[in-house]
Amino acid sequence: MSRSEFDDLMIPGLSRRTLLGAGALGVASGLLPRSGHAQVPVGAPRKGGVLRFCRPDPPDTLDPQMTNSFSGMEYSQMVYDNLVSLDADTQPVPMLATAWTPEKGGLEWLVTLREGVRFHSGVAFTSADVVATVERAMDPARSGVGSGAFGPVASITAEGPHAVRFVLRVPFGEFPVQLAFRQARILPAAGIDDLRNTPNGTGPFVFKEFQPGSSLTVERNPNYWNPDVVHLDGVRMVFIRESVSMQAALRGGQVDLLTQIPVEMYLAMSRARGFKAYSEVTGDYHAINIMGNMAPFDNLKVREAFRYILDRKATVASVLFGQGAVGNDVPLPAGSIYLPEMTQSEQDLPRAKRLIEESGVGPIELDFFTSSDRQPAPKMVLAFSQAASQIGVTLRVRDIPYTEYAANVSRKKPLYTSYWSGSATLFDAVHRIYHSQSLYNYSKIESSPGLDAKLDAMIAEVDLEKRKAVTKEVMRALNSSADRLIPYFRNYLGMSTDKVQGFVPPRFGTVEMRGIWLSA
Amino acid sequence: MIALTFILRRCVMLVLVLVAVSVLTFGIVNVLPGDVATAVLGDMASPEMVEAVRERMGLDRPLDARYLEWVGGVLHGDFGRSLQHGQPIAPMLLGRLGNSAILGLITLGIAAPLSIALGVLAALRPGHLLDRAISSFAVGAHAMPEYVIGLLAILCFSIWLPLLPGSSLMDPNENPLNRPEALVLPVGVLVIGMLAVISQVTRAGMIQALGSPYVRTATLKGLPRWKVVLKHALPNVLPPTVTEIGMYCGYVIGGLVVVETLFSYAGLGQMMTNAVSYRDIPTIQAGVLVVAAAYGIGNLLADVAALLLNPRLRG
Repeated sequence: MSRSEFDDLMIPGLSRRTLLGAGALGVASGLLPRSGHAQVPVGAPRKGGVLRFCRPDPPDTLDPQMTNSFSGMEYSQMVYDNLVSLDADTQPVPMLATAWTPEKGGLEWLVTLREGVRFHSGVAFTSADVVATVERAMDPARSGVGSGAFGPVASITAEGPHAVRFVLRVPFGEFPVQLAFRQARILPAAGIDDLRNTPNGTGPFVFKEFQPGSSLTVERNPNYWNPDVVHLDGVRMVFIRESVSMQAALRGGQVDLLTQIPVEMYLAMSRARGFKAYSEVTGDYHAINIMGNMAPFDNLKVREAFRYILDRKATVASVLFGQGAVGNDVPLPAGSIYLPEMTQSEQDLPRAKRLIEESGVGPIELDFFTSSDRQPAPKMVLAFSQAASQIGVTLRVRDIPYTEYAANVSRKKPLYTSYWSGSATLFDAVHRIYHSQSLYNYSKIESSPGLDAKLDAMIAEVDLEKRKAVTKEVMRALNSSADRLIPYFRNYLGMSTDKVQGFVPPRFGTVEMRGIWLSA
Repeated sequence: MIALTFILRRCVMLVLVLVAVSVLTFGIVNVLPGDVATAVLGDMASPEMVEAVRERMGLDRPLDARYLEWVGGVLHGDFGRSLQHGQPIAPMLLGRLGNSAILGLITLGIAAPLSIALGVLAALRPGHLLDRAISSFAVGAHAMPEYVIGLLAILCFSIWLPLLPGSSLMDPNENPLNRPEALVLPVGVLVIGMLAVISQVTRAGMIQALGSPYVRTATLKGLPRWKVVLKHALPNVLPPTVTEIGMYCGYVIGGLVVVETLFSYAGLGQMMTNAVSYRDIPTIQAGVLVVAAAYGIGNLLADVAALLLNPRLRG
């Protein structure tokens, strides 16, 4: 099936262009980029060169499904392929899948696979690999946080060597977009559980070496099925924790590209000559988890009161130095086609105080957990606790290492911050976080009556207008009762030398090396 | 004979210390909140996922069984595999140990003679300008954390005056001597830290020695000043100074966590930082054991040197 056929079948009446709406952000053309310097292509891509790519954290694991770090996902994006990738409008475009056909109203999807593709080991890519990959992603014990990466899949079967049939638990209109997800890389059936030791993908780069904590090197795959998008001879990822050292490395010509840099560094270098600065709106945000299954947040009035404590505009100005946008407690940034008209939550301390008094929970004294490993959340937490103290709410700031936070705080304490990156589908950005049975709903509550049913209807709806309508209902419900506050969305911030060409600031967290080249 | 007994006794003590350190490290890391399963899976994982991964990694087994298994491996020269990455620890450790040793030995080679010289110079005319300058520098450097000195060094020499690389950015299997320019700032920061302590120990010892009767006798005999200082006073000052330098031997092998992390230098300290972040117990155990051994051997060598320098101790 061709892409135009897909357009006709997948969402009747929806053109390829308007498929933009299928993305959970739905804002690719609605939000203007704020790059410090415009990226101007310099002639035709030049082949060759090794990109030295620097980021603060090394991969936690080389297992493409188990990884929970952006560096791990960036690595897997180089070495592995997805079934589809997303274009600038968040539309699915063929990768290892060449066509996708919805059947039974989107409950089943027949996916045709590309022929003639080989893994780096030399073994041919077939439907057995896709089946093995998806089945692994359905087993949380084997796939960890990658569990559910392919969406609400009930089963998958091979239909010959070059086609697979997905049977979903519910109709899922955004299914092809979901296939581009960060943890939905296609893995080889052989050795699928040992990929952290023996990486083997179909991607444009072949794993060469990983020095834990220091560097990761990949080399160009000379047999890549789409050589037009591979310009580099290789990529060397290096890891520098200290931002001053990162800055020195870029200025000293030791690295070419820095990603996810602190805002202070972006501001310090954004006007430096010989470098490009990138600041782009994303769907990345910090959430304040006010756990609805624990006191005092099991009281709806307390949850509502907490919405009026923080001065969000001041927080964006002082914590993000303007490199972000105010949030309104829903996981979609301003400009998304799925957002209804809603009143922006503003700081209103008298109202917050009155709501707490009406709740009858008595004086509130809580530990507010955050981690300096997830900047700039602690600054926001400090601002929050200072504002709360003005209405008699005592929030003791507890800044702890991330490992301790992951073990003892997340899902276990009533009040803490968490970090979320933008996603291309409503399934990942909304359903997986707010449905009471979903993995990322930490409190496992339905924060307002009937929310689960609305969330199920939202992802099942294949008609865009109807999906918009039900999603707007969901957003209103989340805005009024969800047990997560979303005070701001963070911009993606990065820097490169002038010779880095074809770099596109990532909308969904991970840098794409396909298309990047180095000028002379 | 006495010296031999002394050395043997210290060797036995060193082995006992290493056993104690390994037990303590194992216990402490297990008491810390979180383990490699929670660290790798992160806050998004459900308790069921964490349990499944923990079981697969063998973290659900009793502590003593895991410890004894690890000890058995070490006695056979096998440090095991990293829980986080699955790679064998021994080769990883060796490469990084070599890098840390190079950084440490260069630091010692520069800092030890320089700090002794500064200490002697300061002691020659206590209270005078040179002494005050050296002592003020030493106290200031000692008061300032290595992290701050390192940041200032990067700001000054890599960003404001782009003369030297602010990051070493080398791999564990890369020979740092091939890129001497990348060693300048880390070595400089470490030397400043060492100068502060050793020069002051030397200065204090030298002031005391220069006021002693045997030095006055040597001076009254008409010996030149340099001979009095270098041949009569200095040998008596060296034992405590050498002991202090011995303490630094262990430090420069495995205690360079801050400098190695700041300069992205692929040494033991950087490996340990990463391992602790991920609660990678076998890697932490192996690293701590090596560092403890380096401290022990450094102290032993310092004691032997002090023995050789001080005839009274030789009996």
